[in-house]
Amino acid sequence: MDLSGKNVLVTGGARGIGRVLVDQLLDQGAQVGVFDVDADALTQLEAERPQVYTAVCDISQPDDVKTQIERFVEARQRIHVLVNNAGFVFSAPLVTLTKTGFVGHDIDLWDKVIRTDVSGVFYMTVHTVQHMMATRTRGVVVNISSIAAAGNAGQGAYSAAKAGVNAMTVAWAKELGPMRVRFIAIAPGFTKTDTTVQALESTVLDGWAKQTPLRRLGAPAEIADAVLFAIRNDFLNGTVLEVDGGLRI
Amino acid sequence: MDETIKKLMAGVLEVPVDSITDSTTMDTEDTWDSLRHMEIIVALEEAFGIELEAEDLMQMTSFPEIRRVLTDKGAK
Repeated sequence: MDLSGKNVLVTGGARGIGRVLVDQLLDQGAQVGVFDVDADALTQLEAERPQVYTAVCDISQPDDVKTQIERFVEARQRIHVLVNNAGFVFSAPLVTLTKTGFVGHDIDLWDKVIRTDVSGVFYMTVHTVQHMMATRTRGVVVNISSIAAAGNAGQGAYSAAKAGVNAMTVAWAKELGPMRVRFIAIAPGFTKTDTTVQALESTVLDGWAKQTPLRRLGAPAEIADAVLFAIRNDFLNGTVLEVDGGLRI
Repeated sequence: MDETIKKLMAGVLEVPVDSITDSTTMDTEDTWDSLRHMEIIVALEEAFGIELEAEDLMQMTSFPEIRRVLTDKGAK
């Protein structure tokens, strides 16, 4: 797909990988919309890139998603590409040994990870693809997954969520490929974003860099570049593209 | 046009071409579900070089209706 003039909706586009992706999409001539839960970051984005459509949207809330997508369509008519980038990175073991004994993984945080990282992708995609079908748009959905989908120790909830994202990507690719809607997942390895740095100890990040054959963390621009490739290549469908410096080999 | 439609429908529905008749509807074909329906629509759009609207899709639930909509769209 040639991005010039196409409407691309990016969740979580006000910060991190999403923010870098927004710049790259604009450079390609795309019309970009950003949904983000962070109102302050959106305000900053509006100041830096006034041509971007912005909306505060919590993707874990189905009614909020439905309303905001309807408003976006009203403003921009079509959605050609959806990038499900927003997510909640959370790390905790199943059971932690404390001075007072064993403490299990927080149930509310489990629910929050699943609601944001799995259900959020589902809510965004169901409303977007419904619109694509109604307007006969041969669109693309790119889901930002993670190499954690294979199972990262200390990230059970996040790993489960991203495995769910990969499964949805494949299922929808099979289901909607005949209608010419493509689905691709991009699975970054450990990438140096604000969120990752906040979520993980520096010693953990150093450890992951050492385990990565390229001996470094990925840059947000390198992940964004993979998203652009996934959008452009019309024969790419139903695959999980690992962009991880060789971490998973 | 009829033969092209029948071949496309038969291919998507995985039934013999000669089983597609004026009596063929979504109700008579077990394999004609909503997913296959969209697949038929896309196949018709590409074969006849036309673009169908959402309301067309709702009407095209039988072979005669598909033929009628395509004729209205100027397909040959």
